[in-house]
Amino acid sequence: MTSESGVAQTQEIDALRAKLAEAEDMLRAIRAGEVDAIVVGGNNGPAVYTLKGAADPYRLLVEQMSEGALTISPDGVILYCNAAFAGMIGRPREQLVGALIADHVLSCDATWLTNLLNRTSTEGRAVRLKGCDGMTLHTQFSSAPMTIEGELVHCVVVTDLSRQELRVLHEAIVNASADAIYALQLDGAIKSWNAGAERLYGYSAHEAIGRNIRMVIPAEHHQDADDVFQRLSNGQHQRLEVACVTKTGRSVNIALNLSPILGADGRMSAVAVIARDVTERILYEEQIRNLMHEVNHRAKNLLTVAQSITRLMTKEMDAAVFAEVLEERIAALAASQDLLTKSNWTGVELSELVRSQLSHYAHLLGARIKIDGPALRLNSSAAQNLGMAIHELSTNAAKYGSLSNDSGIVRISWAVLDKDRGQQVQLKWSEEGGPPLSPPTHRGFGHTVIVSMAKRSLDADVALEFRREGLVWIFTAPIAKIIESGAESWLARFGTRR
Amino acid sequence: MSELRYALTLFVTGITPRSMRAVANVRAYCDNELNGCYDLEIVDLYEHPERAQPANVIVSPTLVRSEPKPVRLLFGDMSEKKQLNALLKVGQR
Repeated sequence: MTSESGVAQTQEIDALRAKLAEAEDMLRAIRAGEVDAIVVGGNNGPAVYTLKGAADPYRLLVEQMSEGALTISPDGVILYCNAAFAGMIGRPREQLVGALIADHVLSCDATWLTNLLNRTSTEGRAVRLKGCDGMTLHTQFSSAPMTIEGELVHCVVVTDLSRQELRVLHEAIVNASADAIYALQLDGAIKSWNAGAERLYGYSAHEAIGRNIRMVIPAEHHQDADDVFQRLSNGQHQRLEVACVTKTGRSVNIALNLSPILGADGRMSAVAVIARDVTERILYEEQIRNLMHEVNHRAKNLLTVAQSITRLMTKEMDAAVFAEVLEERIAALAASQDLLTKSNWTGVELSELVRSQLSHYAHLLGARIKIDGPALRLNSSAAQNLGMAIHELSTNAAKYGSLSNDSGIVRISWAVLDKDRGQQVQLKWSEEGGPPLSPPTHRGFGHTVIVSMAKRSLDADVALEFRREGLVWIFTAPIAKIIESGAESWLARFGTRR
Repeated sequence: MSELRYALTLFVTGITPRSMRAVANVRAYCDNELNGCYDLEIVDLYEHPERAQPANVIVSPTLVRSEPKPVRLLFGDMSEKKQLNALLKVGQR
């Protein structure tokens, strides 16, 4: 027992001696000025008291700067690095201080770095850092040798080039954008203005930056702009379409996409705007609405004509013939419709219309069917009505007239005549060489189509003569009623724009 | 018999010359004398003042040997190789 307690006492005394020696050594170090700082516990936690406090502002500056800062010994040991450099590597500072800089750069750059540390010149070069995630980070090292208390160290400032490259890339994208991209201060003053904004609003960046965006907003909408800023400050992105005024005074419809830019305190510090000219799109939308309206109107007209054909035919023929004749007449209507559709409803050449309606007798064209007349572009109403009339005349000619035998002839001719009441278009259908004709005993739908409908729809005079040598139909109408005019030309413009 | 391994922590204060010298000296000593058998952590007390008290660190720079026991402390810029030898007992390895 006595022996064991004696050993324990000896060990305790040794430990106390060692602690005392440490304490004396620490005091000696403090007295000799061999330490930089003392750590003291306090009510607010431990505090570090630097014995040479004058360096503090510089230390804070270096530690908080956004670029990396290093001091490296001549043999390549990292003696100090700031948080920005640690962030570039992606490791805590504790792991970097004391490590070799060569372990954190690509080997081809490490050679240059090692050589640099043996020189005393100020140099800079692009250096690729090895990030902890395996990524390579492009940086610029700017190194300056410095003697601190008689010892050489290299002070290095490390600039992250990838951020700069990204910034340059972003600037290039913004400047190449067809859209206007700009930033506004909270009071509406313009902070940045890309080439797209110059094109859209007509103001150069030099003219625009610093001025208020209200310069392109009509006065009556200034309050709306204030409301938009208010909603943005609540963190809401805004999309809207507004009318703006360019430098030349032209009004343009603009689609705006506005986003708040938040500052370090989380509050809106500026507004990012992407703007696009939608004047053309709005015009297109209006044209499509008009087109839909027009198509609807014409479809209704067509159905009315078809209804009228059906109603009149049921009065004059039995059910057996009805289906066949109805089919033919609707086909005639469809043929005129096809021609109109092909030309985007810009009208139909009269010669084309005639040939289309006589397509069943194509083998007779030129020989027994002779067509003659100047170029004349009919409007859609004339095309529909004259198409039906020519179909009716050709059907009658094939049944009873000059196309019902082997030698009869049909002449179809037209001309523009100057009359007292202005220019008139005269279209003439005359038959000869057919069997002897006698006027019909009653007037059916055929008469309605070739006389009544043409008269009513086209304000025309129609003469129908049953001459001995054959039937003659003469249609005369004011040219304004017949030919394609400006009233429908917007469709033509729309067609060519697409 | 397992090889002796040193656990060392060097407490420094930012970019002061003495701190930088301490880092360089300890690093060089470890590389030259300890043959890789060490773990060295460098703590900046400006960043982590809370690390001082648990390690009984009062001044900077301080090198703490926490393994092998007993815990031993060394102060200053660690430029005296004799002191480092005494702390790390190279002769006894």
